[in-house]
Amino acid sequence: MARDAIVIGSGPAGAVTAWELARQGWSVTVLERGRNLRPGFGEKPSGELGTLYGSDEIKGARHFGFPDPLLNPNTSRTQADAADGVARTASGNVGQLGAAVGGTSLHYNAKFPRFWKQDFHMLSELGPVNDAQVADWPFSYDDLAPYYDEIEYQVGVQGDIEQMPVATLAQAPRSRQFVMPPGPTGYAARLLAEGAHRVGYTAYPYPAAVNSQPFDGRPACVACGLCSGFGCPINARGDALVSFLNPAALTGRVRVIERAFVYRIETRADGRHATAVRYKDTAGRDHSLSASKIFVAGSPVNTARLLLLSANTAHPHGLGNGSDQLGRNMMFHNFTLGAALFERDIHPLRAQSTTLEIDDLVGPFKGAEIRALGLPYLKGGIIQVGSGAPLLTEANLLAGFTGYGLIHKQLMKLGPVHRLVAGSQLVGEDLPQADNRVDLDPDVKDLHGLPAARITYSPHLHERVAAIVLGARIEAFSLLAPGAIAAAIIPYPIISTAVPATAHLAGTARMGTDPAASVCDGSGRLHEVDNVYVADASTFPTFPGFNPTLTIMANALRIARGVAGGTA
Amino acid sequence: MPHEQGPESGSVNAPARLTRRALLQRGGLLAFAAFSPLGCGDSAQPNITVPIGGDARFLDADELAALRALVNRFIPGPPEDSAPGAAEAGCAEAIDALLGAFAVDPPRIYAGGPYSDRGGAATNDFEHFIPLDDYEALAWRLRIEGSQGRPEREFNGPVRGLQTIYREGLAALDAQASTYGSDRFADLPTVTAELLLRTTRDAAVQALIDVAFPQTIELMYGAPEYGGNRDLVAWQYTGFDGDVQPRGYTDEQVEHPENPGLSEWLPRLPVAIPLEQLIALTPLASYEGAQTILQNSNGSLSRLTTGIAQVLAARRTTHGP
Repeated sequence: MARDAIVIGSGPAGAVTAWELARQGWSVTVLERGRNLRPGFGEKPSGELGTLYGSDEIKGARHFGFPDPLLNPNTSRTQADAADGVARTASGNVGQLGAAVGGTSLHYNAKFPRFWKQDFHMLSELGPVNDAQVADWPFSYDDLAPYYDEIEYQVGVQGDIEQMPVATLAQAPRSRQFVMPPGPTGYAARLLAEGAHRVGYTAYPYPAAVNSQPFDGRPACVACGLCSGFGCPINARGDALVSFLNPAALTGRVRVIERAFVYRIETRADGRHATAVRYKDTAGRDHSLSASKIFVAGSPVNTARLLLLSANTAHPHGLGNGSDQLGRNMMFHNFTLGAALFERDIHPLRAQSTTLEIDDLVGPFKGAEIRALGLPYLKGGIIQVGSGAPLLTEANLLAGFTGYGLIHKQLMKLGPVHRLVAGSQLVGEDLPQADNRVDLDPDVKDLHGLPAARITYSPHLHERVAAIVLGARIEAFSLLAPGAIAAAIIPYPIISTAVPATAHLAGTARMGTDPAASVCDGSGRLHEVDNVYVADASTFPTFPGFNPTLTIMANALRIARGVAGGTA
Repeated sequence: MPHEQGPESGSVNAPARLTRRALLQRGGLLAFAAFSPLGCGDSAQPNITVPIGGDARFLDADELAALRALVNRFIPGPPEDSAPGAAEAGCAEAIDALLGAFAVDPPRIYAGGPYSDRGGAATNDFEHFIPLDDYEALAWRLRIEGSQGRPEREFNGPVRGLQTIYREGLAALDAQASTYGSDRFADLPTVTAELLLRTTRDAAVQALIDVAFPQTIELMYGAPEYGGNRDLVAWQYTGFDGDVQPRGYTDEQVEHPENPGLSEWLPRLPVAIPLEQLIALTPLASYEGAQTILQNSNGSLSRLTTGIAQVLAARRTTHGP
C-alpha cells in the first residue's frame, strides 16, 4: 500500500493528522477551503512566520479568516421549525468555524483543559437520558492520556499542576507538570476568584496553549487582551499551524492546497473503497486527487455536509451512513454567561482573556430538584473566568440597546463592557439528540451552486435546566466579587432554542463499536468504507463542557498514529 | 516601559492625557446635552480634510454631504457633545471609501498586520492594506456592488449591494427633506433632521439606517487606518487603549492595574437608561458572549436590536419585571 494520504481540512484535527503521517514518512496533501494568512508558511520555522493578523477588530467584523456568509452560507432552524415544515429561519455564518490554513486555531482562545474520565463512560456510569442519545466513547481517558501529554508538550501549554483541584486531578490525572508556568492572572479574574472562593469554589490557572515564556522560537504573551477572535500578532500562541502543520510542511512531505473546496469523495462501485477526492477552486474549476487513505477533518458541520454530498448508489443516504446517524447528534456548547459590574475601571481586557478556570460546576449533579424535572442528572462544564469585550463589540451591543444618537455615545464613554465588567462563561455540555442534525439545504447554495449545510437544532431540557440551576450559582459568586455592585447571567438555552454562536462544535459522525448506531469505529474509520477516516470532533459521541481543541488534537493524533502504525 | 505613568491616564494612545476632573466635567456636560437636544443649534458641518483612501470614492458631493449629516446624527459631535462625533472623525468619507473600495488596488477592506505604530512598532503595517484573493474579492464585490444580474453572483438569487442601499437611501433622505422645506437633508437643522429620521416610514431610508449605523460604529470605534476614528478621538473619549502590540502590558499592569475612580458614573447614567437593563446586558462582555448576537445581526441594526431585546426579555423572566 502506498503511504500517502489526503487530509481534508487544515485545522487542529487535520494539521495534527498531517504532522503525524509526515513524521512517519507518509506523503500528505492537505486541502483547505481558506487561504494562508501566515507569510513564510512551509518555508520558515514557526518562530519566524509573519502574520496578516493584527489587533484589529474591523477585520474580525469583516469575516477575515472566516468563510464569507454570502459565499458559503449555513442555514438553520429549530426542531419546532422543522416539525412545522419550515425550511430555515436563518442563513449566514451560523455554525461556521474559521477558514484559513490552520483553521479556527489561528484566532482561538487557546484554552486547553482535558476532558474527564467520567466523560468517556457517560452511558454506562450515569445512564440514559430521555430524548437524548447518550453514549460511551469507544476508548477511555487512560487510552487518550498519553496523546494529551504529547500534544501539550508539542503545542506548549501553560498551567500549574500544584494549583489544580484534587477532584480535577482525580478525573484528569497527569503524568507530569505543565510545559511552562502560568502567565499573570488578570485583575478581573482575580476579583471573581475571590467571589467564587466565598461560595467554596476553587479558581486556578487555566491551562492554555499560550507562551508564558519563550517556547519553540516564539515569544511570551504580553497580555494584550485582544485574544479570542484575533490572530496573535506576536506569535505567542501555540496552534494547529505553528505547532503542527508548518513543521509538517517543512519536512517536504506535506503539501497544502488553499482555497480547495472539497465537495465529493468517490468510491468503487461496491462502495467499500474510496478512489478519489474532488474539489473546486474559487473559480469553480474541478480537480481530482487520489491517495490510499483519506482523512476528513472539516469540523462537524462541514464533515457531515461533505459525506452527505458524497452519496452514491452504494451509499444512497451519504457516505458511510448505513446507520442513519450521519449528520445527527450535532452538538454545540451552550454558554451561560455571567458578569459582575463594578463602579471602577477594572481593566478586564488586560489579560490573556480568561486567565482562571473553575471546575465546581462540571457535575454531575443528581439532587432531588433535578430528578423532579425529569432528568436523572445534570452536567455543566468548566467556567472561564475574567473576560471583557473590546470596543467595537461593545459599540455593536449597545447599538442594539439604545439605537443611534447621543445616548449611545454617552454609554460608550462609560464603557460598561470594556472596563466596568468582569465576565465569566459556563461552557455547558450539550447532550446528543437524533433530531439535532446537519442535512443539505433544499434551496440555499454555496458559490459553486452546491447545497449549503442546514443545521436543525434545539437545546435539550438538560441544557435548559443546567443554564438555570448552574447560572444562578455563577450569578451568586459574581455578586460576591469584592467591589461588585451588581451581577447578572444570560442563560442562552433559556433565551433561545436556536443554534448558539460558538466555536465549540461536535458530533455528526459519532464513533462507536456498533455499526448500526455509529458512523465510525474507534479508529475513526467509516464502518462502511475501508480507507476513509474521520479525524475531527465529528467523531465525539458526547460533548463534555470543556474547550475542545486539546481533545480534538489528541484524538486526531491517536487516529493518525493508528493508521500510520498499522493498527487500524 | 509602561505607557502608563499614573492613575490619571485614560488611553495609552491619547496624545494629551485627560485628567479625571476634565473627564468628569465633560461627562456632566454630556448629561446636560442629552437632556436638552433642543438647545443644540443647527447641525454643524465639520471641516473635511482630504479623505483617507485616495481615489476610493463612490458618492458624489451631494450624497457625501447627506451622509455626513446622517453620521452626525448617529454619533453627534459639537455642539451637542464636547467630543468629536462621527462626521468630524471621518466616518462618512470612510464609508465612501468602502463603497468605492474596488477603485483602488488593493481594495481597502482588510488593513495589514501585525502592528500599527501605536504599540511600540517603528512602522505602521495597518496602513498597507492586504491584497484580496479571488474568494475575498468575489465576496466583497457581491456585498458592495450587489449581484448586478451576473449569474456567478446569483447562486442564491439577487443580492442588493451596499452601493445601491446608500445611493437610494441618501436620495430618499433628500427627497424627504422637502417635507421640511429643504432640498437637502444636509441643510436641515439638527432637530429637524432628528425628527425626520425618527419618524420616517420610507423603506429606503430605513434600509440605509439599518446598515449605515453599524458601519459608522465600525469605522468610529475601529482602527483609524480605515478612515474613521480620526486622531483616535473615539478611543480617547471611551478610554480604550486600542491596539497595544507588540508592547502589550507588563505583569504588574495585568495583576495590579491602577483603578481610576469612575465611581461617579452611576449618578451620571442617562435617565433614559435603566440601570437594571444595562446590568442585564453586561454578561455579553466576552468574545464568546457577544458572538450569538453579532453573528445573527450580520451588520443589521434591526437584528442587533432583536438580539438585545431577547436578552432583556429573559432578564424579566428570571428576575421579574
